[in-house]
Amino acid sequence: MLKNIYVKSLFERRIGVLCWSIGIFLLIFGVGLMFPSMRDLFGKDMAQIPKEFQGWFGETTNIMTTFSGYMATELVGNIGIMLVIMAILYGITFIAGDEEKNVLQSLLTLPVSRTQVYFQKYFALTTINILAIIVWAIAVLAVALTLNEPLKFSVLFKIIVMFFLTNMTLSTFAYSLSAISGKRSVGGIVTGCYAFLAYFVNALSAQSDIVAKINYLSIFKYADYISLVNRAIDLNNVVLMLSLIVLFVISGLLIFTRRDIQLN
Amino acid sequence: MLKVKHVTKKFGDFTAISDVSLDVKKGEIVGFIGPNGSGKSTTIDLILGLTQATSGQIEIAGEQLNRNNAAKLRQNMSFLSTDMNLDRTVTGRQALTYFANLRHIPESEQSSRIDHLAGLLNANLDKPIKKLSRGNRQKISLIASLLSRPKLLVMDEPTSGFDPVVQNIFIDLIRQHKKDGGAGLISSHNLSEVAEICDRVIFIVGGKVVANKQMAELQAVAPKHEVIDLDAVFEKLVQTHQDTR
Repeated sequence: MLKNIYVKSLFERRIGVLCWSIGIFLLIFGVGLMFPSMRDLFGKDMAQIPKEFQGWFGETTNIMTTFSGYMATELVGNIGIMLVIMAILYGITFIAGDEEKNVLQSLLTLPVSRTQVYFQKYFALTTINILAIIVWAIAVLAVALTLNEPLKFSVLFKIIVMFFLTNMTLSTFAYSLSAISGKRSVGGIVTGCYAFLAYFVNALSAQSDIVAKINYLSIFKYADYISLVNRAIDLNNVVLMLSLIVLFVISGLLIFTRRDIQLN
Repeated sequence: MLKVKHVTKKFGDFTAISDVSLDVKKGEIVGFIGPNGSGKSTTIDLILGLTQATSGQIEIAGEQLNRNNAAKLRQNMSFLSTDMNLDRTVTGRQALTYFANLRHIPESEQSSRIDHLAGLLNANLDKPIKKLSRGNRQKISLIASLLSRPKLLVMDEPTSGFDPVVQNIFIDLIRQHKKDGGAGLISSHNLSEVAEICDRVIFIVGGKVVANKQMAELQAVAPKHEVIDLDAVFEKLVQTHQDTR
């Protein structure tokens, strides 16, 4: 059954992934069921607020009145941060987590190259991110069916693509930093702080010109979920994220295959 | 089988080992002895390819070890340590099958090899590793290291955790390994065990090899004992090294 490092990496995380999947499904499903009341809030109720104050809520006010818009704003933009956290947490465990427990050292006494270890663990990380997105999409579909709300599959597809790329970019960044340093804390703290700041910079960019000026540094600007409700995916954003992923993978590989690995 | 030639390893300004040379021939078991922090584990990490030497060369089976061929050269050798940090969520059999797969042992032979060694050591392979005692986990590690019938066995404190019965079985297995033409480098604080199974002993103190002697030669160092008293030799060498510093 445990034929290679890829399968083994997934097998030993099966319980954690199952728990995360259940948690993500319940969270998305629960928050999704709030859509009718949110639609009323951002539809009828918002109309009663003076126009000057409506601007504070940004583009989301109109978009939140449709289920596709609610999905892009709330179920990805806000609650979706849980999947981002999961992606980062798994990113730091695969190499640095094993190294801190001396499991990586035992593995590297076998006839396997570091390149094999690096890529097989990275593919396992990618698989977990794919599974998380699938669970998220199933939860969204379950909400739409339960509420009998129309859901545009084209929007769902666009969001899945950009959501996955965003998670993979952050996850790969965490994975690469952990592989370079051999420490979970380095990958976790740097990527976690970046994701946290990037999220708030992107969220506040509409309200502040100063913040808007640095928003180009935020990965979430390029995910741009809200615009996907009415517009096509900007291929430049896809290329940027793919380029970052490749850059992180290569830099992590180059240093991981050259650095010392010692028993802790 | 193994040649370490003038190897130095520095970590920043700290020199962990300096100009270390040693060799292990085919069919020979060599003890590698030294006090804590003397550089034994650093040397072993270098042999396993986990770290890179600052200077010097390591040859395994006639081929110079480097970053690109480390995985290939590890096909010829196995490592056994105090705690191999096996994944605790799997059973012993799952862990061993995984090791066998990574060592490219044909599937048709995996079960028979695992069961043969498990039978000799009376190892329980069906319990999750986290439920096994340290000694029983160590048995799984020993089976894992012998599964591929390696040409070179590198051991770092291999028997701590073993009860006397298993310790004797271990000694028999190492003797059989030697009889089959295998070589071994054993780092251990259990000097009576080293005296029992080694042909030669290398002493390392303060990151430097201070003695490399055949067992017969050691008898001359501590002649008053009927059997070679490695403890006495060890104490004498460490003391001599400290006096000369």
